[in-house]
Amino acid sequence: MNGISVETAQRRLPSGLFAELPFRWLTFGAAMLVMAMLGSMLVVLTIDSSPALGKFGLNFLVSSTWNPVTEIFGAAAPIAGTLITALIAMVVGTPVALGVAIFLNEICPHRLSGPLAVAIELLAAVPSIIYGMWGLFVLAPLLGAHVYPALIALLGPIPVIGALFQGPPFGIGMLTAGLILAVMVLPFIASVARQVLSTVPPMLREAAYGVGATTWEVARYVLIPYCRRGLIGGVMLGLGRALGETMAVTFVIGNAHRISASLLQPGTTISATLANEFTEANGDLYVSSLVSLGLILFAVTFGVLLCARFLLAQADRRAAL
Amino acid sequence: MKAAPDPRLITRRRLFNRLMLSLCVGAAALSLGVLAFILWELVLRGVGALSLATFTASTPPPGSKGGLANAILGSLAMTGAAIVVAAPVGVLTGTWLAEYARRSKLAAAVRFLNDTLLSAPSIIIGLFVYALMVLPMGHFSGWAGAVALALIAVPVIVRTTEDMLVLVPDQLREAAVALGVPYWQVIMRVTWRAALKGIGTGVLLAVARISGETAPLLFTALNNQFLTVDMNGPMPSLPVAIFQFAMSPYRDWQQLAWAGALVISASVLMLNIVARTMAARGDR
Amino acid sequence: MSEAETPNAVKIDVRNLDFFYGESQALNKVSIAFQDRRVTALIGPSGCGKSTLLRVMNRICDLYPGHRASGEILLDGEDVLSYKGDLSALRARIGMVFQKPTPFPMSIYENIAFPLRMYRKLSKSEMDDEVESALRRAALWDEVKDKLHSSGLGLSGGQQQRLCIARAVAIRPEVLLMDEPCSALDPISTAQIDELIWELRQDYCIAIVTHNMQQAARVSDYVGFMYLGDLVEFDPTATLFSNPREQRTQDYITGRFG
Repeated sequence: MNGISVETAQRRLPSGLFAELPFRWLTFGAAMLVMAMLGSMLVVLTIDSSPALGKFGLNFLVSSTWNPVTEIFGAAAPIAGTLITALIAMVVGTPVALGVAIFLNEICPHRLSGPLAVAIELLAAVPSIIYGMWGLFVLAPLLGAHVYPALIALLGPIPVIGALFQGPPFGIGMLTAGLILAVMVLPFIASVARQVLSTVPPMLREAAYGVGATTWEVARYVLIPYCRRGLIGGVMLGLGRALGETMAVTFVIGNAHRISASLLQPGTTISATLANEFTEANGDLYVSSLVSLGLILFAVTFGVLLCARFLLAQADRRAAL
Repeated sequence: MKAAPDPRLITRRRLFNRLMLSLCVGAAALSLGVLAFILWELVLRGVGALSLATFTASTPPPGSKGGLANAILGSLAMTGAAIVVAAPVGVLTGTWLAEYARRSKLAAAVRFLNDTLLSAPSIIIGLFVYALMVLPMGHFSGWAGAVALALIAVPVIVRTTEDMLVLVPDQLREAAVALGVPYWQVIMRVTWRAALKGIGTGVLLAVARISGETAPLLFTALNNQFLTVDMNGPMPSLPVAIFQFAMSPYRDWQQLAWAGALVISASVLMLNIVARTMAARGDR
Repeated sequence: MSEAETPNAVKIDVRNLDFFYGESQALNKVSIAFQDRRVTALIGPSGCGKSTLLRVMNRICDLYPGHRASGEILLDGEDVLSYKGDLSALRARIGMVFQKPTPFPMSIYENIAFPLRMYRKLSKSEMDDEVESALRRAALWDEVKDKLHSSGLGLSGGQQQRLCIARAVAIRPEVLLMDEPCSALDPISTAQIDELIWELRQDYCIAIVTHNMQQAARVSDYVGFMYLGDLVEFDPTATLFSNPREQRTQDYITGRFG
């Protein structure tokens, strides 16, 4: 065998030339189609949102008025809701996901870790509408009847923090939405964390145990710092998902266009607003405002995912060394 | 000179270690518990509402009995149409990335944009297809819904296809070329065949993913009360029907929503398990 | 340089050690005694079990499932194999240096302070003293004293390995296990580490696994030759290299195989 490289092979094509170029162009065309789709998505979104953005300008981002009748729209409430629910999801979901990853890699008996990892990844496969239904019919009533009243009684009176826990315990609202999102991002972060943690060179791990560190100390002082970039990348992937999630949130957020200090009150997110109002929107300005919301969401998730990919690529390069 | 280690320090470390490790075990237990809880409620509430009528009768007006037949059929039709388009485009793009342009800058750009599409919120994709197809056509349609689903499936298939093809060792390709086989046939007959299981798994996972998607269908295919196979008009689908029924105040409709939820979850989980077993067996 | 002096107390006494990875046997009734304040080298072809022997002694093998061991490993009379207590305390008495330098992802200072903090509560000035003393013992102090808070990963290979040695001796173990510590290093760094071993010999029981027979001849007092899981021969260094008893030993050191 004389080591023909793939590139040389392509240049030395003997027969079958007829089909070779068309095939190659076919695959190239498919790839260009994918590029075109994304490009046109950006173009369309920008064009259709320009009427609203042009009319309201930067005020669009900070005004919380959302009045289809007077045709005055401001995106503050959906944007705030998106950010707050995503924040809750990350604050609750990330530590749990890290705990799961450490459990699977360092604590769990080897034979169980495979099936258990698969079980946790199945959490990611459950369609978001199922989470929405479970949230609306099971979790929200549970929280509203048992947990939230306790939270309001315990934490409500505390100054500053107490403002987060006021109001009638509906059960639906920002906190519930954030909690459901936490469950949804957990398997993503856990699976990336697990993969990243397993790229730690075995010798380093042994050296850490070798100086007599306990399992937790090895994880906290050696494994996690070593994987820092990859872990942050995984967290940002989860954040991207939390920001864009629609169905689960729509069911339990309450769909109220206002920003309230209390997490137990209803609110709205960009995706929930789109899901609820788009089909009934009449009037070009209304539709354009909704598309603007979509553009904002796309821009934010794009930015987050860009950082995530960059960090994960750096982590990959390190592991390959 | 050996200074004695502080025994209190060691005990404290040991206790702290045990505490933190218990928290990690607790995290895993919590996650699995939530999964079990969700599945349990799903089965509990869904099985009661499930009956033969669910699969044979169409969606009823509030207050009467009915089923989800039209929604199931609509979902099958749109998912099928979506995959018929998405699979070739996805596989061909993945092939181009892995076989023809592995290291070029253009390929890096395509890969990047593909990953962006992969993680884009699905409701934005629905918005895009609305502007692309629904507005010019003047009405909602099953075709628009299928296109939206295809846009979600393509990046998944591109990713898995490229990953699987890159795993095929170069020696295999070189051996075929050395025999005088033209390169496009090397791809079709050797490389694709070697990676077939992996590519199939990718397609299955894409199917599982789009079967559960609701948001992109909300403003493309909308919904339809009746049994229809006309893709040219609004088309019912299982996820959207569930959305409509669950958010309504009618008990009958909510029951149907649970039945539908059970059907979707069962199919999606089944597809995932089949895909994983295929992949695992392929490794051996 | 490496003459065996009058025998010292036996620090680690391995008796009839069998070790299995799953079904395959890696160590076969190995019995060997490591003397305190002496350097014992283990040589042999790849796969003969010398690294395995080291890794059983500080129970690092416990990190991986599917192994079985029987026999005794007596550290000052206490059996390591059947030790049911806290392994981290045991491992603190036995320091280990690996084939590739493994600095922790921390500053040079922290690399040494981190294990120290696990055992003793020290004030800042006490910690500074300990870190300096450990780095001096590893002949690294002069080279890093100005950059103690920079990352350990920024050092050269030889320096990183000396950092790992400093880290290992900082917690004052009783035994030092070195698994091919110079295999990833250039000849100059190797020579520096050879000298280091000779100095550390005064305070520790050192067991070193090496592929490099010249190194074994230079630094050790005793040498054990292992082959396919058996301890074929164990002698004072000078004896083994000039006048081996076994034919297999003779074949190995003359390069007939290995």
